[in-house]
Amino acid sequence: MTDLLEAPAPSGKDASYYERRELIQTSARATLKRRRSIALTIRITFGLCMVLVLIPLVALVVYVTKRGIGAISVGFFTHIPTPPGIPGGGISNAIVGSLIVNGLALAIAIPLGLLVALFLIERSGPVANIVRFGADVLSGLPSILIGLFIYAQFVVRNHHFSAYSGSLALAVLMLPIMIRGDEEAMRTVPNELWEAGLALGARQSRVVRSVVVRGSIPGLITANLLALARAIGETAPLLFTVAGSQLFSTSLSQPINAVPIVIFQDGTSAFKELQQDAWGAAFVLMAAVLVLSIIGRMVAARLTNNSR
Amino acid sequence: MFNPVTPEVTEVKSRFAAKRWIVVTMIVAGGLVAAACGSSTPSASGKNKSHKSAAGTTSTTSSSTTSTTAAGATTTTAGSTTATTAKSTTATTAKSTTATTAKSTTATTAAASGSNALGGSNDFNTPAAKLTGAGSTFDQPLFERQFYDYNKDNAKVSVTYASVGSGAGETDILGNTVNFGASDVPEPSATTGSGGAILQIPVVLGGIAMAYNEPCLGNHVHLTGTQIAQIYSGKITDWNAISSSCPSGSSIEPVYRADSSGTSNAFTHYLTSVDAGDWPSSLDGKQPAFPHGEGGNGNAGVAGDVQNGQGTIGYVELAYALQSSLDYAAVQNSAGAFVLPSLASVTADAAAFPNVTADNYLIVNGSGAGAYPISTYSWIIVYQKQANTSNGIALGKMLNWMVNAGQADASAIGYAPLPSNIVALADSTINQMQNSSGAALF
Amino acid sequence: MSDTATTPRQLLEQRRSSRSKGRGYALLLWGSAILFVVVLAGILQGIISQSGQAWGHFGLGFLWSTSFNTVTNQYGAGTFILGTLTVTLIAMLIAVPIGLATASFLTEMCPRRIATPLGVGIDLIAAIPSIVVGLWGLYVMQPVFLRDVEPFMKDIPVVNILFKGNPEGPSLFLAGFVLSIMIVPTMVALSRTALAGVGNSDREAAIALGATPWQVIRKVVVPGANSGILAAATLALGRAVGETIAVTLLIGNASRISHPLSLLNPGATLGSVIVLNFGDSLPGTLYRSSLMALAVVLLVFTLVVNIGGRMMVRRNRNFRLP
Repeated sequence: MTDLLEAPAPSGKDASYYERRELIQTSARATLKRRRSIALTIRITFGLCMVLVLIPLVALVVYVTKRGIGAISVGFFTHIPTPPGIPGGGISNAIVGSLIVNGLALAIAIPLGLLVALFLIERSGPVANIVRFGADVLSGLPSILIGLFIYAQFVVRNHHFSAYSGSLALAVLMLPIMIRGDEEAMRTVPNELWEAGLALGARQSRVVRSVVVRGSIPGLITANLLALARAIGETAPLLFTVAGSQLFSTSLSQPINAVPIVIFQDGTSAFKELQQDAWGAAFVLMAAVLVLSIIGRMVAARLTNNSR
Repeated sequence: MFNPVTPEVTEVKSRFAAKRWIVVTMIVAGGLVAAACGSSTPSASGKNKSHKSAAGTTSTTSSSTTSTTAAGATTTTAGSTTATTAKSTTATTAKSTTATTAKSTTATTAAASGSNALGGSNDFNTPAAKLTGAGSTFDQPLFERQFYDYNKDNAKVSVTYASVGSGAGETDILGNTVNFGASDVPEPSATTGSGGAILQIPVVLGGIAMAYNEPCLGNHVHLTGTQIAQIYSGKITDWNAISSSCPSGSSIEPVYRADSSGTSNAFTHYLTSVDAGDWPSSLDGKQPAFPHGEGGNGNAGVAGDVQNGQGTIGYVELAYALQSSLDYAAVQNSAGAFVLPSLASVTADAAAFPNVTADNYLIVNGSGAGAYPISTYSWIIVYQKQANTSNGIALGKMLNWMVNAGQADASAIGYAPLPSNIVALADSTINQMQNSSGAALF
Repeated sequence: MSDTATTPRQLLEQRRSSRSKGRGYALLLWGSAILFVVVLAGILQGIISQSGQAWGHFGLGFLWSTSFNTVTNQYGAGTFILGTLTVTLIAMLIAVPIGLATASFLTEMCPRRIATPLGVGIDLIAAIPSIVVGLWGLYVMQPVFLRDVEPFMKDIPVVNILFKGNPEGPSLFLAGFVLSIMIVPTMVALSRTALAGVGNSDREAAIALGATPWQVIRKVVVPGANSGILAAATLALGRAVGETIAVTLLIGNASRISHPLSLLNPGATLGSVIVLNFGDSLPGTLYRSSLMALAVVLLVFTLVVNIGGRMMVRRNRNFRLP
């Protein structure tokens, strides 16, 4: 029996139409058993693929949680690291360091990303194409290359590692995600609202501020949160820019510790206490990323709900 | 697609259309600026700090840098103003710590009278200082303990040490971006860096343990130098060939240092000296091209790889093997005995090399029945002329403490105390430290 | 609103002054766009310029030379290109079919009530930082591979040509496998988008003809989403090539090609060698320049793959990047 999906469509309801319908029904009935069993096999196979995908992912989350929870204590969050063999260490300087570095990166990237996204929305010339292309290129760039660039420009020139160079690297990393997300969010604002604002005589910037940005805030928040979730987990650029530190520091022009650095360095050492610190830090990082992603998605979901 | 067509926007648009060439020029200019920025390569003296700079950075609780009540030291009055400029918190401070202090007035008040004579181990009359160092991972466990203990006795001095490997430590001190570097492989004594001539002070004596992770071997398998060389060259690949208590098929995975390492230097020199056939001298160095096995990062990384693997063996300073609870081998020495690394055996090996200097520093395979053949000294490198006098005094006195009273920490965690002739060498070298105008500090 | 202005001239004045204020805003936009382009150009240019010394010294032979020796100062990219390709190929071979199958399952064969939360769950886990995945791979997967999986692979008749030698721990195979775990969620999410882009009317027509879900997928959905699936695979490849940290932890850092050629050997990729060796190299030396030349090779790889992927996406109208 040939596969009837490839049969030509009937053109009119003449007698051959009814013959064809008869033909289709009998052939469908005859092959039904075979087709059903194939379909069932495929369904099971693909379902198994689904399970295969889920197993390592879930195992990962479970393992990190199990191993990391054991390290969590009040002291973990309030003490700085101690040498192995001397108890009582924690990662307070790493958490503060990550907050500082990412906070500064956000402060740089959010306005810049918003402005570039607005640029892309309002202009459509060759420059806009270059910018859009550039955002695509940057989003695919391995983060280590960004770290190397910032290292060459800001660390070597100034002869010291610093928190602000780490922020710059993370800001560069966040920008493409923010630009693309902001652009999409603001495109959902209907043209009529733009035109209405302009028709009232408001300046372009006023329209943007009051109408467009305010109207797309949920989308903007989602884009920024997802960019942040990506940036807080990045290790390679930080290794070359902030370098990590054992001391508690809040200075922007000094090296500073960060959570991914703790995970990388302590996780690969042979000392059990340091390894435990690494797992605690990994758990904290994973939880932070998941929370940020969930919030971002909830905000996005509320946006789509509201617009229905 | 949003395209607002309003008079106002069109007006702005047309204005910019007319001036589009300005925009294009700006872009081109921006590109040229970027080119200019990117093309200037950093100078050789520029700091090259690796990402590993914080691998186990040691720090002690920082002391206030404004208090300078080091009694009896005539230089400290002016030293107070300069100490505050030493903002170093890790090994990677800007060169400003040493450069700006050139403006200090300590030079003129530097007492050349030697009233800062090294007072021996319990002289804690130092100016306040925050010192930074970088280098050997071999030293790091001992340094951590020593700096911690020293700070307990002398809260005015705090030290941050970045354990990044001997190679990186040497480039750091030669680039003058840290107060001291640490390396198991000293530079040739005539070497100079951006701060001038250097002094090299032996501070640590330790043994390189062959740590392994293979239960069938027991706690302390016996290994000859030839066997180790053949394991690392890939000639022996099965633990069964080493010990019959292991079944055939127990594969050996040697772990080496992937980074530039003084520990690698001592280890490969040992292999070349006992089995040049299997380990030629082209493979003797700080970062040789190991033909077989996996690479770890730092002593800690190698210890970690040995611990996480199966059938692995790696060379690490004894303290790492002890702290990670790894089994380690008894290695055959030149007298034919199989010796475990310990305070006694490492000391015995060092005793076979009484005339160690910076140019003659290797002490592998010493003679003596109880010698552990894979041992090495480690050196701290400082500039002879200390640009910041109070830093120099604090550094010198701390080093003096480290090689004398501080050696009590050594045996507790797996190092050997320095023999007395080496302590004498160290003290005499410290005494050669000068201030920026060439007057002796001590 | 314009109470004060009554004559046309006054209206025009008012408009003109607000236009000039509008110019500041336009300048702001232009300025930020240009800043963005300049930074990007600077990154690319900065990396390329520092590699000049190596290209000058070694010429194009750098690309296939497999030496990497700091004692003799001979460097080449061959080992690392091979390592990158191997690890990426393993990851893609595992992740693309499984990801596609999972995506088909979720869109075609699973009730929406279950599919949506599962899809969201997979997306969330995709966001887990690679350092955490790498650490998990090191502590959990490496022992499992060492004890069970790799010896098992050596027992499979035809496949074991690829698995010569002894399992050692970190290996190309392990790194490739963990990398596939990292890119599977990307592949699933992008494929779902591609598959969902096929119009429902086509599906319904096929079902009306009596097709089973598998026939619907095979005949209608996949052909319709062809370009989208290709774009998804390309973007997943881009992610795999750019992934550095997790691979560094699992690949064994052997800057040489070990013989016999085997997936069980330790190796190195372009990213891992840069991460590990950058700090040992002095600026201005051939060593440092060679590492930057490796960075250029990595740059070219990722650019080609990612630009290709995104062009495919932009050309495909139905495809909206998540």
